[in-house]
Parts: sequence; structure tokens; C-alpha cells
Amino acid sequence: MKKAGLEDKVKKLPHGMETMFGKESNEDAVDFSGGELQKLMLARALYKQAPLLVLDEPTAALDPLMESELYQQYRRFSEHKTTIFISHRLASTRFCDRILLMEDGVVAESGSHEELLVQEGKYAWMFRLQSKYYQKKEAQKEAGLEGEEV
Amino acid sequence: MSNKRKGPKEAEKNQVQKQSVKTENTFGTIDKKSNRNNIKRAVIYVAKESPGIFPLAFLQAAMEAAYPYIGILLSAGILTELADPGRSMEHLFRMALLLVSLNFFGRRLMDFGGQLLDVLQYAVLKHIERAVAEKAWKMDYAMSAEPKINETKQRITRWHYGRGVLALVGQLRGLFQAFVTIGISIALVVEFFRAKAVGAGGMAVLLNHWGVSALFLGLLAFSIAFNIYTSFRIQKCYFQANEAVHKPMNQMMFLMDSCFSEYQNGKDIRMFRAQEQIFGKLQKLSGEYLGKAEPAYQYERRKTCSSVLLSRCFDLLVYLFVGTKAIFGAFGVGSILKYTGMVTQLGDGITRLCDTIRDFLQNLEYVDVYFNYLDMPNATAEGTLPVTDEIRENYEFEFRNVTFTYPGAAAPSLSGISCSFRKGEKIAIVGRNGSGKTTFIKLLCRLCDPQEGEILLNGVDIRKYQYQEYLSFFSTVFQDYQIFAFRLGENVAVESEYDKDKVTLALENAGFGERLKTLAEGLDTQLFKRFSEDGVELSGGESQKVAIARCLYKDAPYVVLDEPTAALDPVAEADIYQRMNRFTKDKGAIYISHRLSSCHFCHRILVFEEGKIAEQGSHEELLAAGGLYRRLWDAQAQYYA
Repeated sequence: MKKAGLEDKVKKLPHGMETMFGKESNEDAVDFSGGELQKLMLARALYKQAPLLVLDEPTAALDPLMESELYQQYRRFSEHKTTIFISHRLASTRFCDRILLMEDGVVAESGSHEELLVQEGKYAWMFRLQSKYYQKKEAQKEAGLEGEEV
Repeated sequence: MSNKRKGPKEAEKNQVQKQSVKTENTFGTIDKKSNRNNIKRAVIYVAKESPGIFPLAFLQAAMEAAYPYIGILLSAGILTELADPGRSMEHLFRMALLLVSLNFFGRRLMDFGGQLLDVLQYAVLKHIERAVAEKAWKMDYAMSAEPKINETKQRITRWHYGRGVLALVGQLRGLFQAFVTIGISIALVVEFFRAKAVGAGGMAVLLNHWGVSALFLGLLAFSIAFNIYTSFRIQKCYFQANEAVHKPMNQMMFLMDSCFSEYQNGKDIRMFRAQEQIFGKLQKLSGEYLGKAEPAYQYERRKTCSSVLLSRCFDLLVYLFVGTKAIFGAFGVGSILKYTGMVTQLGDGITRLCDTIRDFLQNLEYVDVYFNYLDMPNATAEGTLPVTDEIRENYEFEFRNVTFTYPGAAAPSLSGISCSFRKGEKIAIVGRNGSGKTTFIKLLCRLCDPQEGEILLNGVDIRKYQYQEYLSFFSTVFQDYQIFAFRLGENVAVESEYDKDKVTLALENAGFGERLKTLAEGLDTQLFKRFSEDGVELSGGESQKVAIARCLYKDAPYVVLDEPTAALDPVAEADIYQRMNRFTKDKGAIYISHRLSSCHFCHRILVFEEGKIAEQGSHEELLAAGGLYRRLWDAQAQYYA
């Protein structure tokens, strides 16, 4: 739970680790928010201590700061493991050794982030698409992408 | 704050208190008047749903009461005829035939009546289940989440035929049957005591003495009383056990539902080998349940033993008394069967009467719980103002010093929130997890009411508006949207009858158009495999598009989106941003998102922190301010540099 970033939350709970879930059948029970649940799921996966770690969209419900924290910790908790990280947030690819781009049931592209950018294939296009909203306005217009009316 | 401000808050508090007091009193003392009203109401409730049920039940009861006497009286007749030296074989034969056929047809008739009664009762049961479900989704959202109310609902659904309104049918029928049985037996008992032994001998005189009869009646009364008392003690024991057994029962049901019915959970259960853990928990709960129920069973076994023993001893006495009287010529040998039978019937009848009365009285408490549940008022029902077209054309929302705490929570989720926004404005809400973003939109949609402060629409407190009309003002995609195991079209329109073109357009606008073409049955495609083997399982992204389509289809003036693109790939996400931008052109919108890239589409950003609005402004202003927003932005943008 510490690795998943839940230590503080657990300390605040009335019964600590023994706290029950399920308000339907238990008055003492707690409800976790979406982000907290996601961290709990991560803690569960880490607890199993298996050599292969599979994470499917583990940051979908996390706020930007928690997401960044997870990426920073990622190296640490995936040490000595093989990890498969599925994500729509292409920021996560920075922390991976290799990226597999899947399309229509086949692996369309494969390589590191820099290699795929150079290839100017689908990955490069998706990455640019997602980044465009994080760039400065000038850069946006430069890239000839649609500016949005605000 | 002026007294006026206190007014609504006090009233709200009182109302909440009153409601919770009501549910707590469900097993407290209920006054006689409310009992009588409940009985009347319950009878009308059942009779309205199934008019034939009570007449049929009473008819059935009368038949059940009279049936044993066929055997008793005819056997007596046969025996008398046999004992008669001048017996007629033909007469005997006819009586035997009558006995057999009456038994047979009587039984068949009662079986038929019984099955018909079962069908009618089943119909009432379904009606009750439906009423409970309807109440659950019509009640205020805030109440439906309360554990106590949920518990009550679970209990009611487990009562089936044994308790509550439906049990009343069986009980009234039992009462009627008992009366009929007792009535018939008393007539025979009187006849028995009138029969005088013949002769002047000591025995005959003794038998005819009223003292003997009185003694006999006394013993009969004692035997019956003992049975009733035993029955009462057993009942009480069971009742207490039942109360204790609720919690493990509820938990077991919940566990079984979420582990066995929700097949999607199978992935995690297998990956983490949770099978053992789950079975362990079920066993533990089962053990808890048995631990509390077993003592009651044992108690019943012990008490029943002594009760049965006493009854059989008394039976012996009856045979002796009746037999002796017959020996001394009070009546023929055939009548022995008649009178021994009648005493048994009388005993049964009185015992049944007392048992049923006790069940009936106890059941009244459950009937009260049921009606209390149905009668719970909706705080939202008090609003009466219509949401007019003028309002829909031009509107402004305002939060004034709003504070909200979830029931049972230690700290408020929102404190002193003040802000306003109008038609045409697109607002982004960002903040860390747990900062109150989702709570904010729940309050805006009036799914919950704030404890302090007001939310105004065009200057009027939203609690004054007619609730359904207010809800129709919003098109939403919540973070925990549900796609139901219905047809695709039904999921989008949330109705069984819908405009096919409009639904198709909504799906296309949500980016689902290509996928729709791959579905053989189109809008009629059954989703998920819960009710259909051919059901289609949608991926996370596809489900999200359906949820967005639902929002588009409703086409309400104000759009609320909570993480609408969390499950979408970058291409689909960019696509949805474009589409949403077009769709909300003339509307107002609120976006909650962790993907700060969506903030570009918004005029204004509200930054929530620990239940308060920490910063407010446009994207550029907030970046320049260098506060929380800046930190969030940098944390995300750094990877896309």
C-alpha cells in the first residue's frame, strides 16, 4: 500500500487495514473514491509479487499529480519484473523500454519512444495528437493543427 | 446570518432527523390505532391486487376444516353398521364408496384450490417486489445510499410469503379455519357430554357425574394450554434468532451476488486466486448464521418432545374415557371414532387459533415496517415551480456559500462554495482526487441537497423547482455511468420506444458509428451476456461512447461531463473534444477531467482543493498565477514536451 501511495489514507481510516468495504451490508464500511480504488488495485497487484506485472489503464482515475507520482515510482516497483503497461495516456510510454502499438489485432509498430517518433508512423501521429493540447498556442498554430474557439 | 437563512437549514435538519427516527422506530412500540389502520390498509392492498384471493382463501379454509370430518363421521357410520347385527352389506358398501370418493374428490378439490391460491399469492408477491423496487429508485438519491434504508429494503425482499402483507392472507385464512374447526368440534363435544351411560351401576353413575366431565374438560384445557405455551416460547426464540441473523445473512447475500452473479469479476477472482478467500468468508458467515440459528432449532426440538409426549398421554386418556362410556352403553361403538376424532380436532383447532393469533400480532410489526418504507417522503417532492422555456433559453446558476457533508462522514466534502456560471459558458473543474468535484456536480443536479448555503437557478433556490423538470435540464455522463444489459438503442434512449434515427445520430456523433455498422442487429443488439447468449460485450471505450451518446440523445440545455474520455484512446479522445465542442455550442457545460488538455475548450476553470475553490480563471491566467493549477498542468505536460 505504501508503494501504491495509500499509506496516508489507511492511517486516517477508523480500523486501518481491517476497515470493511460495502456500505450496503455494513454500517462501519467506507467508500473509496475512484482514484483511491485504483491505488488499492495497484497495491493488490504488487502484493502478489509475481514476476510478470500487467497494468491495464492504472492511472485512468488518478489526478495529474498522482499520475506523475506513479510514473516516478514505476521504475521502483517494477524492478526485477517484466511489466506490461496498457494505457491511452502516451506519457506513460516514456518509462517503458519498448512500445507495442496494436491495431486490428496485430502489432503494427514496435520500438522505443524515440525510434517510433522517427518512424513517423501511427504512434508518432497519436503522440502528436495528444500533445498538441499541452503545447503553447503558438506551437499549435505552427503545427497547422486546428485551433479551437474558446 | 439572518434568521431567514437559518429557516431552510433548520427545516432540512428536522426533516432528516424525523426520517431517521421513523426508521429507527420500526421495531419499537406501535400504537393500537396504527395497527388497525395497517390491517385495513394491508387487506385493501392485497385485495386490490388480487380480488379473488380472500374469498378463495376462506373457501379453502372452510374445506380444510371440514375435510377431516368426512373420515371421522363416515368411519363412525361404517363401524356402527358393522356392529349392528342386522347389518346391510349394501348399506355398508354404499357408505364405504361414499367415504372413498368424498375423500378423493375432496382432496382433489382442495389441491386445486390450493394451487390456485398459490398462483394468486405469487402475483401479489411480484407486485410487492415491484413496489419495493419502484420505491427504491423513486426515493431521494441521498436516502437511497443510506445503509439503514438499504438494510430495510433487503429485509423486505427476503420476507416472501412468510412475513409482511402477504403473510396476512395465510394468517386470516388460518384464523377462519380455526374457527370453523372449533365450531364443528364443539357441537360434537356437547353431543358427547349429553350422552349418558346406561345402567344404575357405580361406574355408570360415576361416568354420568358432571365432575368427571369437568375433570376431563379441565385436562383438555391444560393440554391445550401447555401446547400453546410451548409454541409461544419456540416462536420467541426464533424471533430473537432472526434478529441476530440479519447481518451475516445480508453480508452473505451481498458476497454471493457480487462474486457469483457478476461474472465480470471472474477475471480478478482467477488472477488473484480469490476463490479460497471468498469461500472462507462464506463459510465464516455461514457459521455465524448457524451459530445463531442452531440454538433456536435445538430449543424447538426439546420443547416439541415434551409437548408431543403430553399430547399422546392425553390421547390415551381420551380413548379411555370415550371407550368406557361406550362400554356402559352411552352410545354405539361407531361413535367412538366420532368422539375421539372430535376431541383431537378441538385441541388442534384451539392450538391453531392461538398460534395464528400470535403470528398475526407479531406480523403486524413487519407490516408496519413495509408501509413505513413505502411512505417515506421525498424531500425533492416539495418543489413546485416549473422549469419554463424562458429559463431554458436564458439561465444562470449560482452557488452561494454551499457546504455539504455526506451522511456519516467526519468532514464536509464541500465548504463555503460560491461561484456562478451561465448559459454558453464552458467550465472546467479540476483538482486532486477527493477534492469535491463529483460532489459539486451531484449538488448541481440536485441528487443531494446541501446542508448549508443555496444553489440558485435564475435567482431561485433549486429546491423550489419541480424535481423531474429540474432533472430534465441536465444531460450527464457520470464517472460511474452504467450500461445496462438491455438493447443498444434502449441504452442510449433509456426507453423502450425511441426515435431510431435520433439514436443512430447520437451514436454516430459519439464516435460509435463505425462500430454500429459491425453490429448485425444494429440498435436491437443485446448488450452483455446476462440475458442473452448472443449478447455483445463492449470494450471500455465503446461503453463510454454509448454513455456519451446517451447524453447527446437527451439533448438537454446543460451538459455535465465527469471524465468522459477516461477510457478512450488519443484519437477517439481528440475526436470527442471536437464533437463535444460543437454539441455544446449553444449550451452551458461543465467538464470534470484529469486530462487537463480538455481545459483548452473551456472559458473558465475552477480549481478545487479539499472542498473549496482554490483558484478560478482562464487557462492562461491560472498558468501565470503559478498555484495548484500550474502544478497539475506541469505534472502532466512535462511528458509531452
